[in-house]
Amino acid sequence: MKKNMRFVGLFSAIGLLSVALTSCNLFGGNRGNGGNNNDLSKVDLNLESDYKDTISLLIPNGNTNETTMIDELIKEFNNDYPNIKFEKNYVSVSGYENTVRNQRIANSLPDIVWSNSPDFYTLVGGEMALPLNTFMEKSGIDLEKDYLKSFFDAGSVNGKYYCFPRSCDSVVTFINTKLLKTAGVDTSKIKNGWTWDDFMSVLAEYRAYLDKTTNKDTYYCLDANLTGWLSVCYPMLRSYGAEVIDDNKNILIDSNETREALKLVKELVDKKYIVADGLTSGNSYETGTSPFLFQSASISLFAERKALKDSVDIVSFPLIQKNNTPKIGAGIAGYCINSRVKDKKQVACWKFMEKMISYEGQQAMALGGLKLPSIRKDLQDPATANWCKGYENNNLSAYTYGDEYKITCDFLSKVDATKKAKLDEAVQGLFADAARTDKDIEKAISTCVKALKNALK
Amino acid sequence: MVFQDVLTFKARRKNDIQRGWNKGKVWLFLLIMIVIGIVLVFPYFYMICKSLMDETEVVDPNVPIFPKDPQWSNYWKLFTESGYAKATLNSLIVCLFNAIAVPFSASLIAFSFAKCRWKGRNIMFALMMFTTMLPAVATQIPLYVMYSQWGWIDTLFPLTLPNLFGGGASYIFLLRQYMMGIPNDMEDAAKIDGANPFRIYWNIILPNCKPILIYVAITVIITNWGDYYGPLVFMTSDNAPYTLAYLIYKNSTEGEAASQLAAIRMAGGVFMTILPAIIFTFFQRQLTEGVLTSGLKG
Amino acid sequence: MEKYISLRRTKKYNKFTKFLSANYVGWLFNLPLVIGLLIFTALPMILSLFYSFNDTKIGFDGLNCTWIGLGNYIRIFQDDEMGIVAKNTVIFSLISVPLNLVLSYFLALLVNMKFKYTKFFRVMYYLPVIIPAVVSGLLWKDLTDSTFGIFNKIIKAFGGENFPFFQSAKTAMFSLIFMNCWGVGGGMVLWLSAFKNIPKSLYEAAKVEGANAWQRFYKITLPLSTPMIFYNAVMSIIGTLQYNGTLTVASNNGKGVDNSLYLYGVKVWFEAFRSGDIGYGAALSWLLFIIVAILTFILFTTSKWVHYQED
Repeated sequence: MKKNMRFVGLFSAIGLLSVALTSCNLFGGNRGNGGNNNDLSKVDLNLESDYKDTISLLIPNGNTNETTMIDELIKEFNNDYPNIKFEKNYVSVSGYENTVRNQRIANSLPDIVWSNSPDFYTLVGGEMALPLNTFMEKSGIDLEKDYLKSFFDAGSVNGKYYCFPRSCDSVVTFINTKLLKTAGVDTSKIKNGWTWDDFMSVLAEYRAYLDKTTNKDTYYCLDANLTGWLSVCYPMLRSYGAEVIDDNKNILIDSNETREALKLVKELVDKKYIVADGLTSGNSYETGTSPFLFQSASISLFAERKALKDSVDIVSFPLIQKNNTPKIGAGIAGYCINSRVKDKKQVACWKFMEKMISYEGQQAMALGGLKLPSIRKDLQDPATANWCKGYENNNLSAYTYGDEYKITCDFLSKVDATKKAKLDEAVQGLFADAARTDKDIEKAISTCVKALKNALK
Repeated sequence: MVFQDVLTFKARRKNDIQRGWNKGKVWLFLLIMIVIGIVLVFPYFYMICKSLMDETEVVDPNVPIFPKDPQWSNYWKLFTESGYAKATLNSLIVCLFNAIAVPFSASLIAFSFAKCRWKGRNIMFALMMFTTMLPAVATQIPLYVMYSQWGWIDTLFPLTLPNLFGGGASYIFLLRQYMMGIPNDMEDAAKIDGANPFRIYWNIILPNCKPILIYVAITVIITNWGDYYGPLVFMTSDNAPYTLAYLIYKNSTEGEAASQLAAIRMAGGVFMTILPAIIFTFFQRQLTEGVLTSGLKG
Repeated sequence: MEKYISLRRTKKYNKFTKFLSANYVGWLFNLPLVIGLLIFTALPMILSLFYSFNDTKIGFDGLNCTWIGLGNYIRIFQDDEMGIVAKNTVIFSLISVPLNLVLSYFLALLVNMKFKYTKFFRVMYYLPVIIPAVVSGLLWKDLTDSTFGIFNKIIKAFGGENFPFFQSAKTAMFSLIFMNCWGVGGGMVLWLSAFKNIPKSLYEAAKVEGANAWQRFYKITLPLSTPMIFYNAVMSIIGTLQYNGTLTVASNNGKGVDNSLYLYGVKVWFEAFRSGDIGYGAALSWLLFIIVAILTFILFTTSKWVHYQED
C-alpha cells in the first residue's frame, strides 16, 4: 500500500513536471497590461513597395466565391506590393467561433480574419480585432462622403471600427416573378420602399390563389427566415420601438411594442402565409415553390439555380411603418486585422484592407465573383460597376435602398462575449415561439425573459 | 411457443431447424426478421433514394420516396470534384495506420494488465478506466493548443500518433478481458523453457488473440473512416490533408446554398458506408467472436 | 499468473532497485499507456481542471484566467437551465439505456439462430450503425419533419394523425429515444459474441435433466450473458450521459423545442464552444466526471448479480 502511494506521488510529480515544461502558456494567466493598448498614434503608414512578408488570411470555406474574389484582390494588391505573399486558411462557418478561439489561444490566428455578424462580436469581445480608427484618420478615409456608412457602422462597436465590410450585406426580399405572374398577383405594389401593409396584401392575394390549387396545404407564401435569423427578427422588433436590453443590462423585452411585433408573426401564421412551428423553412424559395424570401445573399446565388431560371428578382425589405421608424436588417461580412499583428506587418495588413475598399479592389473582387453591391458610392451605377454585370435587368438597388433604416444586432455588443450566444438564442426563440400554434404571445415573452435572465447572470 | 426455441437456441444448428421445426415456424421467423429488417434499413434505403434525386426533387414538399429519374451523376459529381481522390487516400492512410497501431499498442498494454504481476497495476488500470468518464469536449481545447505548439495542426498526426499509445481505454479493456481468458498452461510451459516475457507475448499470447485483434482493428477502421469531427477541429489551412469524411462534410454543409447539395451529401454518405459494410460482411465471424467479458471484476 | 522474476526478489537490493527489478516487466509493457495517459490525457485533464477553477475566457493574450475557486461549480447549481437539463438527461438515460439493451438483446437472439439467412440479416441490422454522422443528422431531420417528413407521410397513409416528432416539446424526447433504437445493431454484435461464449454442453445437460425452454433461458442464457449485460450497461451509461447527438438533429442548436432535448452533453458543448465560457464548460465536464464515477462505482459494488464463468 505504501509503495502504491509512492507511485501515485511519482506520477503526479511527472505529470506536473510535464505540464510545466510543455505548456507554460496554456495556463494563460491574466497578464493584465496585455499590450492591448497598442499605441497606434505613432504608426507610420509608409510602406516601401518592395516590402517582403507573408500575410495569412482566414477565409470561410464552402463558399468558392470568397476564395476567388480574394484571389483577385491579392492580384490587384500585388501590383503595389509584389513581394507580399498570402497564405489562405479556411474556417467552417458553423464552427467559426470555436476555431477562432482555439487559434487565438494557440496564437495561430491568421493576420487578417474574415468575419460576419453576429460572430463579429466574438472577435471584438475576445480582443482579437484591431481597431482601425487611427489608420482611417491617417489615410484620410471619409466614410460619409465615399462610402455607404451604415455598413461600416455594422463593423464597429462604440465608435471603434474593427471590421471592414467587403460588400453590402443587408436583408432584401427575394421574389419569384414567375410564380407571382402565374398567380396573377398585382405586382405594382412590389417596389423598393414598399410597406408591410403592401406586403401583406400581396401575400393575401397569393394565398387566395394557392387555396385554389392542389398544393394548398404544402405550399406557403413566404419562405420565412424570420424565426431563425436575427437579421430579420431583430429589425422587426426595433421597427415597433421594442428593445431587448438597455446599456445597464436591464431586460426590456417584456413590452407592448414586443407584443405588437409578435402579433405580426402570429398573423403570418394564422393566415397561413408561413409554415406554423416555423422550423421547416429554407428550401421552398430555392426550389421555386415559394414566391418570397428574406435573405441577404447575392442574387447570383439563386438566379443560377435550375428551378429559378429567369424568375429571380429582389425588392427592398417591406417597411414597417407603424411608428414611422421602419428598420432594415444589415450585417457585416468583411475582414478584420488580428490585434496581435505588429509593426510593418500591421501596416501591410492595413494596406490590404485599404485596397479591399478601394475602387480597384472592389472592382477586382466583383470580377472574382462578389456579386453583392459595393460599399463605395461611386460603384453603384450598373453601367460601370462590375458587381452588376449579368444582372443589370434586376432591381439591384434594393440592396442599398434605405441606408437610413439599416440596423444591426447591436444589442449583442452590450454584453460580455460569452453571453452573446445565449442572448442571440433567446431572441430567436422568442420569434420561433411566436410562430408556434401551441404557444401564445405571453408565454413566448415569459420564456424569453427567463432565458435572457439566465443568460445575463 | 415458437419464441421459446429462439430463446434457448434450439435452432443453433441447421439440423435442428430441419428436425424440430416445421415449415410454418421457419416462415414465421423469416417474416419477423424481414419486418424488423425493413424497419431498420429504411433510413439507409431512403438515403440511397435521396442520393439519386436531382436538386429540386430532393427538397420537394410532396416528399417523393423514389427518384423519378435517378441521377447517377450525383456520384460522379462526388468524385470529379477536386481533392476527393487525395482525401480517400488520406482516409485510407489514417485507417491503415490506426488499424495496425491500435491493436499492437493496446495488446502490449493489455498484456501487462492480464498476464504480468506488478506493483501499480491496479492503479494504472483504474486510471485508464477513469479516462473514459470525462467528456471529450473538456480536453479538446488543451489538446488543440498542445498540437498547435508541436506543429500538428493541418497534419494527419492528431488523427494517428495518439493512437500509438493504446487508442483508448475500451480497446485495451476488451483485449485484457480476452487475454485473461487464455489458459496459463502454455505460457507456464514456455516459462519453464526459459522464454522471456516478450517472447511469451509475441509467440503465445498474440496468436491466441487473433479474433479480438481483428475485432479491434475493424472497429478502429470503421470509427476512423467516418470521423469528421477530428479533422474539423484540427485542420484549418488551405492545403491540410483532408480526410474523406471531412471533405464530404465541408463540401456539403458550408456555404449559403448547402441544401442544393443535399443529394450529393447523401451520395457521399452512401459511398462512405461501402467500406464498413464490406468489412462487416466479411469479418462478421471475427466481430462476433472477439469480445469476451468474463472476469470483468477488474 | 506467476511472477516472472521471482528469484531476484530474494536478493537484497535497495528498495527502489528491488521494486524496479520486481516490476519492470509489467511497467515496460505498460509504458505506452503511461506515456499516452500522461501526454494525451493527464495533461489536458489537468489543464481543464485548472480552467474549471478559473474564469477562463479569450482575451488579447489568448486565455485570460482569473482564479475564482469553486465559482464555476457554484454557478452550476444556480443555473436556471440545469433543472431541465438534469431532468432530460435522467429521463433519456433511464429509458434509452435499458430499452436499447433489451432490444439489441432480442435482436441478437433472433440472428443467433443458425438459419440460412441470418448472416444476411446481421448485415442488414448493422447497416444503420454505419451511416456516417456527416449525413445521419440531415437524414433524420428529413425523415421526421412534421410537415414534409417521410414518416408522417407513412403515418398519414395508414390513416394516422400528424406526428410532430422533434418539432414539439411533447414528442421530442420520445423521438430521440425512437431514433436511437436504430443503433441496436451495434449492441447486437456484442451480444452475439456473448452467446458464442456459452458452452453448448450446458444446454445439452439441461435438456437431459428435462428443463423446458423458458427454464433453460432463465437458468443458462441469461445468467451467462450477465458479464456482457454488465459491460454494456456500464458503457452505455457513460456514453449516454455524455451524449450530444441532438446537435445535428434537433432545432434550437440541439436543445430542441422549449429545451425539451437539452441534455447534459449538449450543455457542456454549448458552454465551452458556443458561449466560449471555457471555465464553466470545464466545470460542467468535471461535475459529469464525478457523477459518472459515482454511478460506475455503485454499479460495480452492486454487481453481485453478474455471473462470471470460472476457468
